[in-house]
Amino acid sequence: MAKILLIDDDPQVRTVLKGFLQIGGHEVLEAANGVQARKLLQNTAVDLVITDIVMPDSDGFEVIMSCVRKEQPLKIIAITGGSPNLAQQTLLTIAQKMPVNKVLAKPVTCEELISAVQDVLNTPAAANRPQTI
Amino acid sequence: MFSLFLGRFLPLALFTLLAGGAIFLLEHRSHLDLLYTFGKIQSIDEESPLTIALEQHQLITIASVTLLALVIAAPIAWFRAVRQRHDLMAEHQNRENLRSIKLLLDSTIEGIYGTDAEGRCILANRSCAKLLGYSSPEQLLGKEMHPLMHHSHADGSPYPVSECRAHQMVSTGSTPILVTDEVFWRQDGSSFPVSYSAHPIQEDGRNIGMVCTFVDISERRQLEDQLRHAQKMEAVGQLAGGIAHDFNNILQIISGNTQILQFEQNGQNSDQPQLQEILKAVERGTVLTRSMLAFSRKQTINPTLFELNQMVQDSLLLAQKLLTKEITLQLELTESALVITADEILLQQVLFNLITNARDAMPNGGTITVATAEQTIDENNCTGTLQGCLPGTYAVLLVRDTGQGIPEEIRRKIFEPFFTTKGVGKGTGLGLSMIYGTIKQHGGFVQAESTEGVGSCFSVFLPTSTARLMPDKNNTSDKNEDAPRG
Repeated sequence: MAKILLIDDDPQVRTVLKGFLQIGGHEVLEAANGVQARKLLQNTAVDLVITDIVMPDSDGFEVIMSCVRKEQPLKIIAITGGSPNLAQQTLLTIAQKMPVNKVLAKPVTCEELISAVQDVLNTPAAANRPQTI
Repeated sequence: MFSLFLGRFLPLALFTLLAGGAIFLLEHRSHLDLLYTFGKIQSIDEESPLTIALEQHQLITIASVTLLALVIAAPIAWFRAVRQRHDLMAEHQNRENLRSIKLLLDSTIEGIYGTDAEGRCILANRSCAKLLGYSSPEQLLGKEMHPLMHHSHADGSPYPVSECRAHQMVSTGSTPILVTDEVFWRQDGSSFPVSYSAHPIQEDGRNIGMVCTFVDISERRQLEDQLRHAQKMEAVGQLAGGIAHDFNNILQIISGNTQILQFEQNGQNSDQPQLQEILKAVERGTVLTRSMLAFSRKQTINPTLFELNQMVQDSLLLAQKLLTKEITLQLELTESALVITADEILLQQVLFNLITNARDAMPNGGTITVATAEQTIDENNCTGTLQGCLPGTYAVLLVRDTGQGIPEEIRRKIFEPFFTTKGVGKGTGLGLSMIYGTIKQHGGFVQAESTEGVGSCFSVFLPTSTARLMPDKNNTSDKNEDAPRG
């Protein structure tokens, strides 16, 4: 069981993804955007961050950058359904070039998410060092 | 001027001399008659003083007549010469003016004609004759113009002269009119959309006819239609791209909650057919979203260099599976290689989509021909159906069927999203719009030709790659050099 921070601006999507993660037996913390996420991460240690990319105020890319700047970089899964201006695949491609462990496209199935989380959690910490971008 | 003067003066002087001579002879004769009458002389002696006196008189008279001829004829001749010269100059000026006016009228693109109050042609320029399909403006003169070129509406229904706005203007009003929603008819029976303005010709405050200028607006109409269509497609594309994003979130919520329900009910009702149906619907929604993104050209393409003919041959086996045994699939591929840079999987989807459409157009069977060609489009032939495309060399993938054809009225709509002629549940109406978007994203374009009852042909134009060598397909490091950016 791991402690996971789930960041998505859509509360209904958060509820679903939280449900998936709970089925996988994980403890889930929620944040609606990057600002809330960073505040939460100042006081709470988590094993994994799952973040949406397109969000108001502070988007997923800012979250990713703040996570990797930490002394002990966090493991990250990016997840997106695209944006009105950019294709989902384009966002996924951008996300893949960022120091994240996995990138997923919405809609994601319960099985896919749990499997992805497991993979990332099993990745040795050394393999998760942020890449230079 | 001097020659004119001489021309006038000499005959006049000669006439005056002759006239004077005649008077002199008559006068001379009357003197002799008088003398004979009074018996003063019996005969005329040439040496007599009377004869000498008569000769002197003769000379004086001749001199007087000559002088008179010069004095009278010269000013008259001069006056006449001046008047003739003036007339000639005026006539020349008139002729020159007419020539300039005709030249001016014949140099316009606009057709111009004038009519009398009854609508008979009194003047027409060369463009007018040409636009109406006549070889010269003279063929129109004297003809009644309305029955000749304005007799019917665009749909072919009669357009009586009493309803003609130009004629109404002449007979009832004097305000010029501008009409842009009518057609004129050519001599060969064809029509063209026209923009015309008619102005009354007035004399002493009353209308005695009208002058009409017109232009053929077929090309303008075509460009307007194309622009309107392009704007519509762009707007729908933006809408589709915007919706797709939210759609993915909505699908995530539906499918996610369904899966959670499935998990929670696991063991109690393992069948759960309703939940399975929800997930199937989500799957359909996912495909739809993908198609909308394809149309809006926001899908990510993964271009590689490949040979089009090879791709077609590789797809043949799978394509056969789409067809019934009543349908024959034949290939007409170019012998030369057609190397393009495109997303091979997406292009294969395009091919399957076109083959499926061709199949559906032939419910009773027929032949589907998949052909390839190479076509060079230069700046000069970027017109008509190729209007707006970029000049260059294109690889063309054609899918031709022998089906029922597409009626002309719906041909322009076939690439619009959600437009389908298939029954409910048989087509999303996104197949051709997906093709349209995908090919546009590759820097190409799609054309559809169809004849009702004969069949349809869809041509996909893709820019050929400038690369000479075919790299290893798995080598992705340099494969996007000249790929269209998505």
